[in-house]
Formats: sequence, C-alpha cells, structure tokens
Amino acid sequence: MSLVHVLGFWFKLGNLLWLPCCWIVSVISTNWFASGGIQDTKVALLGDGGKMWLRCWEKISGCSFKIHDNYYQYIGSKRVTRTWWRMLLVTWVIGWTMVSAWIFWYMGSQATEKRKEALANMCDERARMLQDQFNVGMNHIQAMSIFISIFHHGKNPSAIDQRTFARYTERTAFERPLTSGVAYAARVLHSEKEQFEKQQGWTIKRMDKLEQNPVHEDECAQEALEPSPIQDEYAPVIFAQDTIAHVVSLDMLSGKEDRENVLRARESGKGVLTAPLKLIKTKRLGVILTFAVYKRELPSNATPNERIQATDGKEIHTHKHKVEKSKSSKEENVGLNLWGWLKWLRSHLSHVENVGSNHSNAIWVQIIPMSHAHHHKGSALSDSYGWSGLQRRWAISFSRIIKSLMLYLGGVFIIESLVEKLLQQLASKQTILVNVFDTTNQSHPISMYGSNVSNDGLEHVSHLNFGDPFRKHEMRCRFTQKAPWPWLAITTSIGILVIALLIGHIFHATFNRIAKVEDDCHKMMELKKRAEAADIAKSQFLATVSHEIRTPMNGVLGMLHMLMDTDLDVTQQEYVRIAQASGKALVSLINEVLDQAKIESGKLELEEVQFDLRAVLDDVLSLFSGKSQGKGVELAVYISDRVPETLIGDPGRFRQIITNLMGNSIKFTQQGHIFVTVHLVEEVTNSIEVETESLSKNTLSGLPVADRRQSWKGFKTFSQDSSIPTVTSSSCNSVNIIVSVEDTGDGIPLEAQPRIFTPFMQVGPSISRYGGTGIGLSISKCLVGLMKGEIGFVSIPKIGSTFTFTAVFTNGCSNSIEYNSQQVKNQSNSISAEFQGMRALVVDPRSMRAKVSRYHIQRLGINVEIVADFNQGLSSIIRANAVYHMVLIEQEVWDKDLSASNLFIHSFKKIDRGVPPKLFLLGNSVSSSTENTTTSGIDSPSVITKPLWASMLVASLQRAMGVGNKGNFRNGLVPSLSLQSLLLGRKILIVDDNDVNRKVAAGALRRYGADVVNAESGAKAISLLKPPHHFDACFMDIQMPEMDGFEATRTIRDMEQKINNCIQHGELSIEAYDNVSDWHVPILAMTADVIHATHEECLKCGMDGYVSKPFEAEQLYREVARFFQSA
Amino acid sequence: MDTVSQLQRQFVDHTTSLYREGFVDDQFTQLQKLQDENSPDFVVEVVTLFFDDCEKLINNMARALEQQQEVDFKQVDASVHQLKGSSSSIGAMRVKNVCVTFRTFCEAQNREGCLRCLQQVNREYSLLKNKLQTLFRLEQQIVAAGGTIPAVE
Repeated sequence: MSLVHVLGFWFKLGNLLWLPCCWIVSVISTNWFASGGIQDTKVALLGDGGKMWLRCWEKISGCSFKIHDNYYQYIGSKRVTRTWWRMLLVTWVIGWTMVSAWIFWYMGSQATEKRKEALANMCDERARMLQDQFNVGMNHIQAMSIFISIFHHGKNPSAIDQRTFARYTERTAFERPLTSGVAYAARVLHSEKEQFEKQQGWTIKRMDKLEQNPVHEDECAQEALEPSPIQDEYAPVIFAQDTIAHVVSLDMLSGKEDRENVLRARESGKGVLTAPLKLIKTKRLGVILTFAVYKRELPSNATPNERIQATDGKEIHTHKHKVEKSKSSKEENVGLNLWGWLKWLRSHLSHVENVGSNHSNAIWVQIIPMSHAHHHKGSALSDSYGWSGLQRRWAISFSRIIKSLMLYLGGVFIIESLVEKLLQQLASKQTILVNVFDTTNQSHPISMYGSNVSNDGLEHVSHLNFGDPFRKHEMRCRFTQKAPWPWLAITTSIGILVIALLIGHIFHATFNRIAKVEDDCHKMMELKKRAEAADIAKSQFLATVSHEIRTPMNGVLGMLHMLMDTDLDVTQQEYVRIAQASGKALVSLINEVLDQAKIESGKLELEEVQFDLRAVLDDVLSLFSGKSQGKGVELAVYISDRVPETLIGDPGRFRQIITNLMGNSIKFTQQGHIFVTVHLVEEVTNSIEVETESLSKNTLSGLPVADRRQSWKGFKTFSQDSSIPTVTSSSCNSVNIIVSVEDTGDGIPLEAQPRIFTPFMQVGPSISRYGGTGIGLSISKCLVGLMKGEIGFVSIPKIGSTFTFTAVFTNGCSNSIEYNSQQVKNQSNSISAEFQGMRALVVDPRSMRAKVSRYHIQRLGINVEIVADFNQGLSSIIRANAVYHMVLIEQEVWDKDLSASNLFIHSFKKIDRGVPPKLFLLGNSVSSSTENTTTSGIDSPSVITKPLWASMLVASLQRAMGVGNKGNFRNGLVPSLSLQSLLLGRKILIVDDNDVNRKVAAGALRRYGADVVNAESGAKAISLLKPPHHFDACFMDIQMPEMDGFEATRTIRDMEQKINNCIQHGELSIEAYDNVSDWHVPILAMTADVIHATHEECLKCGMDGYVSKPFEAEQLYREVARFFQSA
Repeated sequence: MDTVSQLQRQFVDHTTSLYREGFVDDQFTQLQKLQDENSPDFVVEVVTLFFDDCEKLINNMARALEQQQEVDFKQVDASVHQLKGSSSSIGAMRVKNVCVTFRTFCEAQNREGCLRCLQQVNREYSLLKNKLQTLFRLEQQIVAAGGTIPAVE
C-alpha cells in the first residue's frame, strides 16, 4: 500500500521537476508555445493529476510570458525589469512554498485517511468478534436454559438439584468463557410462596437492600438478609453455580436492575441485557443477561402477556463483565469481582437450594412449562424460545445464570486468553485502545470496558449487537500511539521547496550575472568611448603640435629657398640644397607624425603625379650623405636601367618609405655600407644575373650582408606564378618595382623581429638613444600597402638587415621601350649636357661598387669603362682609341698602395694625348681623403666624396674641370663690402629709447659710411620725419615707451599720405617737396624678438621690413639692398 | 718693451677670460670692431653709457620692488626690457641672461623671484663693470706704454 503511495508521489514529484524544464524550453521557443501545443501535450502527459498541475502550469507559463516580455524590454528599461524580476522571484518562491505546503497537507490528510480506515477496519473486526464471542456465550446460556427446562421442569421430581446444577455448570463453564456464573430462579406467585418456601426449606430473601449496601452485605452472613417483603410474585434463585452460590434464595424481582430485566425477558422471550451496573462487591461494571424459560411452547408471535403467563424459570441472568485497564490489574479486579459475586450469590442463593428441594413440585404445578421444545436443537436464538422438551420440574424453578470472567481454576485462564487473544490477534502491529460503551442512554454512555484516557486523536465507533434490541452497545477504538509524523509528506514537500528555491536561486543568480555582465559591458563601452576619445585627442594634439612646428620650419625652408635664388657658386648651392633638403626631411618627420594620425583615421590618400624616381633617390641620398660621410659608411643607390625615368604615383610617399628605411639603416650601421637598389619585379624574378650577384660575396663594401632574397620570400607577387606579374606589368602601363635597402648594421634582434612593423615600437630601450618616433616602419608598411605592394625584411644580428618592398606605379612615358633606348641621352640632358659624350675610366676591383659608380657617371652621358686595378687601367688607357676625359679611382685602391698610386700617376702623366684625363678619387669620407691627399705629398687628384648622385657629381666635375664654371668669389666678403657700398653717405635716422642700443646701432651704421641721426622716442622721430624727408631710411625700435614703433610708423605714413594726397590734388606745390609726389621713407623695424615680429606685422603698419637687433650683417644687407641701389 | 708685452699678455688673458666666463659675447667683438679712427673711444663711451643706464635702471627696479603693497610690475618689466636691450647691444651676455629670467618672474608677478633676480643683476653688473674697467685700464696702459692693442680672436 505504502509503496504504491510513495511511487505515486514520486511520479508527481517528477512531474514537478519536469515543469521548470518545460518552462525553460518554452521560453526558448515562444512561438511553439504560443500555438498552445504544449498545453495539450501537458494535459496528456500529466494524466490524472493533470488538472491541478495544469493550473500551476498556466500560472508558471504566465510568468514565463512576463519574463519573455521583460527580456525584450530589458535593453529599454533595465530598472523596471529588475523590479519585475524581483517580483517574479518572490512570486515564484511564495508560489512554490504554497505548493509544497499544499502537498504536505494533501499527503498528511491522505495518511490520516488511511489510518482512519485501518482503525475502522480493526475496530469493526474486534466488535464483530466480541459480538460473536458474546453470542456464543449467550447461546450456551440458552442451551443451559434448555437443559434446565428439560431436567428440572421436564422431570418430576426434578433431576437437578443445586449440587447437580452447580457441578454441571462448573464443568461446562469452559463453554461460556465470558460468563462468570450462572444461576436459576423460579417464578413464585405470592400464593405459592409458603409452599415454595417450605419445599425449598428457606425463605425468599429480598435483594435490594443488599444491593444498596453491598459492602455491608459482604460482611454479614446470609442470615442477616431480610426476608422478602410480600409481593405479587417472586423470583427466588434456586440453583446457582458454585461461584455465585450465595445468590440462592434471593428474590430477583426485588433487585431493581434484575427485576427490570426479568420482566423484560419474559415479555420479549429473548435474551435481555441489563445496563452495565456496578457489581455489588467489586463495583465493577457488569451486564446481566436474562433468559426466560417458558413452561409451555409459545407461538413465535405470542403476546408479552402470554409469555409472562408461560414463564417458568424466569430468567437467566448473564452477567457480563469486562475487564479493563492493564492486564496486571485485571486479574486482581476479576478476583475481587468474583469474590464479591460469590459472596453475594451465596448469601442469596443458599436458601434457594433448600427451597427448591421442597417446593419444586408446587412451582412446577403453578408454572406451566413449555409444552414442547424446538425441533431443531442448537438453535438457541430462535424466535420463539419455546424449547422442546423442557422439563416440567425445571420449569417450576428459575435459574439465574451469571456470567463471570473467571473460575478459580482453568476457567480464568481460558477467558483471559480469549480476551487477550481477541485483542492481541486483532491488534496487528499497531496496538489500539478499545472501549466498549452502553449507549442505551445516548446522553450518558456507560463505559463497560476500556480506560477513559481521553485521546483527542482518531476514534472509530462500531456498533455491537448483543442480541438485545433494547440495549445498544458500541465499541470505540483508538490508536494507543499518536499518529507518527508524516515523514514522507514532510520530505516530499521540503524537497520540492528546496528544488524550487534552488531553481529560483539559479534564475536569480543568472539574472544577476546577466545584469552584471551587461553593466560591465556598458562600462567597457564607456571606457572604450573614453579611450577612443583620448586617442582622437592624441591625434589632435599631434596634428596641432606638428603644425606648430611646421610653421617656423616653413620659414626656414622659405629662407633657404630665397637664398638659392641669390647668386651662389656651385658649392654654396650644394650646401644650401642640403640644408634645404634636411629641413624638408625635418618637415617630413613632422609629417610622419601627421601621417600616423591620418593612417589611424584611414584618411591617407596617395597622389597621382609624374615624378622622377632617380631624382627622388638622389634627394634622399643627398639628405643622408652628411651622416654617412661622418660615419664612414658607404652609401650607394643603384637603379636598374629598365626602370622608367618618370613614373606616375606619389613621390612624396615613396620618398618617405625610402627615407624611413635608409634612416633606420644609417642609424644602426657603424661600418660597411648601405645600398639601395631599384629593379623591376620582372627583372628580379626572371634575371639570373641578380640572383647570382646576390649569391656571391661581392657586396658593396665587401662585408657580408643578409640575403635580400629572403626578405621577399613571403611576397605574394613572387609566390604566385611568375608569369602573372610579368603579364600585368607589361600588358598595361603599370610598373611594378622592387626596392631593397641593404645595410651591414647591427641587425634586428630575433625576438623583436615579429613586432617590427608595430607603431611606436623600437627594438629596445637602449635603442631609444638613436631617436626617432618608432612609427616609421609602420607608416612605411601602410604606404606600401597603399601602393599595392608588400614589404618584408631579413635580418641577421651582427651582419645586417635588408628591407625590401614592392610598389606599383604607372609608367610616366607613353612608350617605354623607345624610352629605354634613349634613356642615357635623356638623363644627361635632364641634368647636364656639358659632359655629353665624354669617356671615363673607373678603377675599382669590386664589381658591385664599380657598377654603382658607372651607373651614376653614365647618367651624365659619360661612357664608362671599368678596370680592376692600375695596370689594367693604364693598359686600357694606352689601348683606347678615344681619349679618356677622366679617370676615377676608388679611394680604397688609392690608399692600399700609395707607391703604386704614385707610380700610376707618373706613368699616367707620361701618356700625352692632348688634354690629359683628369684624375678623381672616389672617397667615402671627407676626413680620410683630405688626410691622404696631404700626406701623399704629390700632386693629388681631386676627391669626389661619396655618395655619388647626379647633381653632386656634376658639380664636382664642373669644379675640377672648369667646364661652364661661373665666377667665383669668396662668400664671406660679400655683406660687409656691399653694405658699405649701399650705405655710404646715406642719411639714416635711428629711433630707439635705449641709449646703448642707439649708440651701438649708430656705430654699426656709421661704420658702413652712413650718416646717422639719433632719436630717442617715437614722437621725436615723427617730428624729424616730416616730408620733405631728409633721411634715406629709418631704423625704428618697436618696443618703446609712450609711443611704440608701430604707432610712430603709422603716424608717419599717415602724414606722408596726407601730403601725397595734397600734392596730387594740387593743394600743395610739388616744388615745395623737392618735386617728389610720392613720399615714402623706408622704415625698418629693429627688434630682438625675431620670432614674434613677423614680416606681416611690420607690413601691416606700413613698415618695409625688419632687422634683428643687434645687427646681423647679412640680414641688414638683404633688407637695405631692397631700397638702396648700389652706390 | 717688456712691460708692453706683459701688458699685452695680460690684456689677452683678461679678454679671453671675459669671453670664456661668458661675461661678453660676439656682440662685444662687433662693438670693438666699430671703433676706429673716427671714434677712438667708441667702446668706452658705449660701455660707460651702458653702466650709467644700468645703474639708473637697477635703482628704478629696486625702488619699484621695495614697495610693500603694490609692486608695479609693468614698470619693472619695462626697466628689465631696457636693460636686456642694452646688455644685448653691448654683448653683456650674463646680464642679458639674468634679464631673461627676470622678465619671466615679472610676467608671473613673482616679487620674491624678481628681488632675487635684481640682486643677481646687480652682482653681474658689478662684476662686469669691474672686469671691463680693468680691461679699459689695461688698454690705456698699453696705449700709454706705446704698444698696440692686440687683436683677440
């Protein structure tokens, strides 16, 4: 039973657990849910308990809908959702608490129900058995009544006397286990009393007194009993079982209860029970059963009156006595009880015995016994109670049978065991308390058995039928123990609650987690925004700062440009060019920073203009020449002939890349060389020459280098089919060039190589002393990418690095093939035509270097021949048909063996062929060459310092050979001389509030022959500078007290303007003003603050320019020269 | 002859130390170059002028800065500017440098700094005056001894 119960509950529990799962699934698949399909499924799945669960389900699903909605609202209103969630969680917890409480209640009530049922079953069972036992006993008593009627009434004289009866009853007592004693009483009418008494030998005693005072009775002897008062009839006990022998001769009708019983029994003809009454001696409760024995047979429907008339032996009393309470006390009680009964019976019945023997006949006569008995024997409870064969003799006397619980001997045992058995057997495992009540009087039920312990627990009432319709009995059963705790219900409900709480917690935690993650996400977004803003700010800052630096730089560059326009000799021009180029490089560095910012914002765009690749490289070379010469590092550029002269692309950016790479190389190279080569990609891929060349040890400086082929290993252009780039470059106008920058520097440490293209990444902290922004390479990479090229490198520490990149340009010449054939000529034309057609001999044992030299010299239109040493050179000179105009000797060769050099020069000079070839040395650094030339002590040849580039070469050759040389004068003399010529005899006004300054300025100007007048304030200057002017110029200090230079100038200009206007309008005669109609005295600002006093500011207030204070000769000259023609 | 050459050596040493210790710079050389037959005492004139000027300005500034309540920094600044202009004109480098610092203090209206600078200017000025007076004395002695003033590169 309980197993099934448990199983059922676990099934339900499983359902419960399954619900949240379904719910989660439903949250995921709302659409399916919305179709209502799941509800149907649920009903089917839930089966019996479905309806109830469905309700829960609906509730939960409602919640899930809310959750769903909330989830979507979440982004919009987080706070609302949070409160929703909290409410939902609380609802969830409360809901499940209620559910679990309900389950607890439900399971508990079911258990109670079961218990009740069990109790009812047990109680009924007991009641039935008790009833059966009782009935058995009753039957026996009935049987005894029959026995008496046969042998007492049926025979005359009676076959039974008191002894016989006593013995018989004694021996058949086992058949009546519940009966403590049996007695027999006869009906004696008053008229017959005397006769009866005589016959029995005792008088009829009354009983009620006894009853009223049983204790007293107990002690008195039988004689103390009063004789019965005169009545209509009497029912004295004539026979009694030994146990109750004292009741003989007592008149039953005199006892209240007994009388009632007797009367009722003879009326009904059935066994009649008294109400439970306190037994005389023991005060124990007992019941007396009375049967009437009729003299004659009565019809079953006999009236009570008839029955009374027929009564013979009046009653059979059965005293049923229940023992209650504990077993131990039971025996004692019973003992007492019996004791009391025995005494009582003896005292009452002792006389009956005597009387019976004497008067039986008389009674017998008077009381007509039942004429015939029942045909069927054993049916003791047949309706009529008209037992066949009831003896006449028996009929006269009456018997009283008293049931008792025990006999002295085995009888006690038997009865006790029966009752015990009855209770024990049926108790099963759970002992129950049994109470028996007489409920004839409903309002006051009389307890017959059982303790009166009030137990407010379960109680079951079973009705007992002891065969007396008048009397009602019932059995009330209770469990001895209280109901055990409903552990199953408790564990189940708590389990469910725990699971629900756990799920709640999981959801809570999940939600919190989600919320936290979202918060974090928001925070991250915020931080990201801030970081981006900071980045933008940084770029802004860089841009601003760069612009700030660029402004003065522009001034420097502009001045340099102006300087180039002046008359300079070749060397000067070269210096200025270098200065300018360096300035430009500085600007470009600043631009780099800007570029990085641009690249970061993706705004960088490339130009598409025509440019000369060689010129660009020359520029770069010139830029680095100073540095490389200082370091003694050989710098060289070689551009393949097949690369077209003009390309279309972005020269600035191309230059930037080259500059970056070369700059890095220069920085990290202490000795050896830096070599830039430019080829077409097809050349590199197809030509074996390039391959073998790089394989050999033949490098520019003879030092080993990193194999540059490694640097382009990863290039897509090369990894693809080699035909593809060829096709693309030849088919259209695009030119795919590959540039390598090779150095013999420190190389890049292996660990730094992977991040070499990362912005602001320098190789190490120690490298920072080299300066630089660290963004060059990353910018280069971006630029190369924009030029549809790739960049790569190979670097071997301590040997060197080689960077290689490719770039795609458009061919600037429409016909590249034609161009190639005429390239040399064009080149020379573009630079200088004066060396066209000349011949040169290069003495250089290193073919690579010779090739570079040849490349550069050839660009000037000079035919070049290379020889490895002096001997070869001499022989080739001698052999040559044409004249060599120049011989270029590598410094290395020259220095190696000075005697050989001298010898060479001697033999060289001997060769007389008209104009002797000019000798040049190709040197790396200025210092070494000068040193050597001085030490050689001979007629040393001119030195051309490397690196070689076209314009420099031209200049050097021009200087050495005097071809097309312009007039040459010493630069340093120019200003002072020309200043003197300009200022001689000029009348100049100097305005300055500072005495010292005035004096110094005046002194300086007087030196140049000027006639100087001083003025110490602006006001005085104005007064002096009234047209017609007597001064040729005015130098005015700007910062003066009272009236500053600007204001004074403005006033002067106003005056001039006025006078000019007047003259023009004829208001003033022009003669009065020296026939000058347009007065304008040159006014120059004097300032120490060169930066602030910009040209513009001066012009704004009518000044003509400014000079720094104290005077600088050059600047003064430049400014003054604008107004004064050379005197 | 000995005295002349000794004086000349002294003169050269003194001049070199002037340059080395940064009392004067190239501008002073330029100033010396401006002196010729037409204006034989040009340098002395200018320098004397400068010293007078200096004294006047320093007094002005000291007065201005002594004011406990309201220091007229504008006036001080103007004076410093003047001083700076003069000193740079004669090539008194150290005075000029102090002036540059002085001006920043003036702009910041830092009285303490100004006073400190004023003392510094005063000291530099005195030093320079001593040095230059020594120089001029040497010059005069050389001329008096009949020697020529050696050129100092």
